[in-house]
Amino acid sequence: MSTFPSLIPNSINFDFGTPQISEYSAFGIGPIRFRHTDFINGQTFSLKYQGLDQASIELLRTHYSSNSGTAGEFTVPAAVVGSVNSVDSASIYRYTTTPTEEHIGFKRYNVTISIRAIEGVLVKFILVGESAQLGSLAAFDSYVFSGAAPFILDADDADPAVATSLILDSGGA
Amino acid sequence: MADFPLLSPQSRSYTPGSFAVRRSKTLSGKEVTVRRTNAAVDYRLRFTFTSGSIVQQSQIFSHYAVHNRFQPFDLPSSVLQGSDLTFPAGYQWIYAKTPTVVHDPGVVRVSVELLLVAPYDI
Repeated sequence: MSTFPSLIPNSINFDFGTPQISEYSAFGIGPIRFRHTDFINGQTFSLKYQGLDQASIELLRTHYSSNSGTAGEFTVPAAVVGSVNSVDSASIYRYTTTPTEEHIGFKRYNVTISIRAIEGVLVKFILVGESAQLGSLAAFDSYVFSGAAPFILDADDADPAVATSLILDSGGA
Repeated sequence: MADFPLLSPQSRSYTPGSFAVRRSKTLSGKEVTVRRTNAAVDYRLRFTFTSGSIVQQSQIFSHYAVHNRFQPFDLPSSVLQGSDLTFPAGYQWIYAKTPTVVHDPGVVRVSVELLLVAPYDI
């Protein structure tokens, strides 16, 4: 799979795509909706380039050609689509239409590229425990217990500094 | 067969060829595409020729009258100057549609759209 050239467009416009939901309704029951995947696909982008030089237009021509035109799939660097969060860098695209170049001067070109995400973005929740943190650790020594139970482990120096003790009573041993 | 008239356009736009594909959409939202040919088709070039007389218009009309959508022809380098465009070997051009002409006072604009076609014998 190829990657779209890293050319930042002069302007972009796009939509948010559609979730994969179908709706079933029958007489006597309300519409029932099925969500088939958690992906939102079909985001369309229109990338407008103005005043491209020869090297840049060659990048676009070569990519379109080597991508089999509108048939092949490719990824797009996040910066090209404005780093919007309706897609991500793993999204997969196709050309919606064949781009048309406008030759505006000697080796200067305007072109608008229309692409569509065929695999857009996976909607998922990420739980982030932002404020949680591990307390500091207290040094301790190890001892061999000998004598009569109960043995009392006194954790006074631990953080949080709340007096805590652990009683080991091995009476039944 | 005669080449397109040796003219320099005032504006030009270009649409590269595309491949015939069949697309199928699935319930999961995935889209399957099958490419059905190795040959890109439908390359198009559009020119606008502007001049202060009808000389260019006459040259284009004479060429169009003979070739139109039937007789393929080659392009002189003057109409592609500076574009570095390349096309499949052996392919030639036909008129995609009839050229249009706008006459303003002292200005004649001729718009031409050409379509690239695979070689064929007549």
